[in-house]
Amino acid sequence: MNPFSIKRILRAPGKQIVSLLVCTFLAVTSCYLFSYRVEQARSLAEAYESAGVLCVVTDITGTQSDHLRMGYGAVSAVTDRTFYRLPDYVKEPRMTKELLFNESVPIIAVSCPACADELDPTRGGGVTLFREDFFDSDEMICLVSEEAYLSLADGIVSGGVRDPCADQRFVETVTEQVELVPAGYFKGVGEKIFIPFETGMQLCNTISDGGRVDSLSFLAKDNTKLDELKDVASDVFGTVDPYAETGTRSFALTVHDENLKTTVAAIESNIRRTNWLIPITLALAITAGLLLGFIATRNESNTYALMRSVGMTKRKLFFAALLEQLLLPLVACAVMGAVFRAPLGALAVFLLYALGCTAAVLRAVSVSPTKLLREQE
Amino acid sequence: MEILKADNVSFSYINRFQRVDAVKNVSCAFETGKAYAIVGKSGSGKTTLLSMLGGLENPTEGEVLFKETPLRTLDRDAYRRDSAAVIYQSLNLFPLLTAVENVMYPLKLKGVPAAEAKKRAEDALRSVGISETQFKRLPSRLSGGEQQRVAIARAIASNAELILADEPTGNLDITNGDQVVSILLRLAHEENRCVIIVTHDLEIAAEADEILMMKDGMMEREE
Repeated sequence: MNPFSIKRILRAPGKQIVSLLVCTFLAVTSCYLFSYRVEQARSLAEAYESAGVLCVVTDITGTQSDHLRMGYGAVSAVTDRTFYRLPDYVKEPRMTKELLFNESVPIIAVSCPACADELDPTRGGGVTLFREDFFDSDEMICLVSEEAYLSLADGIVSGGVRDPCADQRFVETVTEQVELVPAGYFKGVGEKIFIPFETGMQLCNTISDGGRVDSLSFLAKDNTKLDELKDVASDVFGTVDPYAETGTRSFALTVHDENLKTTVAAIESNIRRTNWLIPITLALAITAGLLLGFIATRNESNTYALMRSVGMTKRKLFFAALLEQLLLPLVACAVMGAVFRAPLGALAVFLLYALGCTAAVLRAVSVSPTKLLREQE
Repeated sequence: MEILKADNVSFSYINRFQRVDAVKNVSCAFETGKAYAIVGKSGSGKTTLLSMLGGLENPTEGEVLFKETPLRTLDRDAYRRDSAAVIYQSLNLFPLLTAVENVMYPLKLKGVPAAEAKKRAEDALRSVGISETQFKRLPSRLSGGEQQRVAIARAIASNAELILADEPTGNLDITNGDQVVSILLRLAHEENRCVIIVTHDLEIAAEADEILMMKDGMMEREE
């Protein structure tokens, strides 16, 4: 090391201050861009992770998502892994089947709380369950409103159940007398009765010609694989066609990924912009190192020749000169890296600045000590 | 005692147009305790000869021998650091270091501890007549004569056996020039060093123990 490097820097701070300021600016820019890129990548992951992309089965015209009267096969397509690939992309399937209780009260079979506003806390509802396995059960249990629950005399809901769809399809239907045991209640008032989806399906098998699902929706399991989901779903469901004949007995799947797409597109645009700004910043760092190194060492050739003539080796001179050029940039990059908590950005700027500077210093220290003799000869 | 010898050395280089023989077949020997003057006109090859003697250049032919060892085989950086000090006509000092730091510089390169280096530097500066008030001055605040004396002090402090001075009085007035020459002679005669002065000033050359005349790259000796 040059014995008096620090003193030399302190006594001629002008050039070093320029390199300090330039490196500070570049390090700040680079640190910002690096941390911004990391933050955007995290936001992208979070967007994919947290966005609930709802996939809703509708009629083929896309206008109706309830009272669809789908065959149980449609349910299997979403839930049965043995025969279908779609269940691998499905999270939280929401299926409902509406029946009639005592000819006037709706009795709805639901597969999860998200199937009905009354049960879903995110939509203002709420349910108190006496049995945690309510939605997975196939027993004769039910949920009624809190008001109805409190007014039940014998603690049993009993009456006749029939399938209203059967009327529309001119098929024979029977009314089944049931006794439902309340397994909880939902907030508020109302006559509606909710039963487990499987219980509803069993009732349908008894009272009409088979299970008919009124609505079917689900959340995408992995938002990064929505295209795959759409591809796999196309094996089972059609594409919405507003001009299709209304009598067509086929269904379409609508994937509500518009918000996710907008968010992802914005984030990806930011990442793309950052991806080309980072190389520009780093290219500026190497250019600045070369230029400032050249300017700083341009008038030092006599000093370097004198150092060589008093016995400093070429190697020592190179490192001494380089150290003098890089000391303050190193401080600037280290401080900025610590302040912005982006050491990679600061390190990249420093290394490339050092690379540029090295080229300039190599050129400057290649001076021969004979230069001093030749100059005065 | 013979310390340095040029044995039939030549130095040639190729400039843009032709091959230039700057020094041709020069042989000479130098002893400790003596001052030598190499004189000659501009372009006679005296500075090139000095650069070879100082280990700044290797001869293209022949050998420079330091204590009978060819310089070519020695570590020339160590030779310049430990044994040979070169004093230039100008540009002798590091502009951003004080007088005392300039003298300490080669000592620090040798690894001499800071306190000892400082003491040796101050002693050397005193011995060439630099006052203590000037120790901490940057070269820009010293006169030309003082700068040359600081350069000589650097050679003294580093205990170099060989002192090679290239036109050391070239930029000085007569008074300062005389002072510098008398210091160099004192180093040869009282401190038993070998001092080689390149000059075109015959009055200065006359004060040396031996004069070596250079003409067209060749040497003519004069006692």
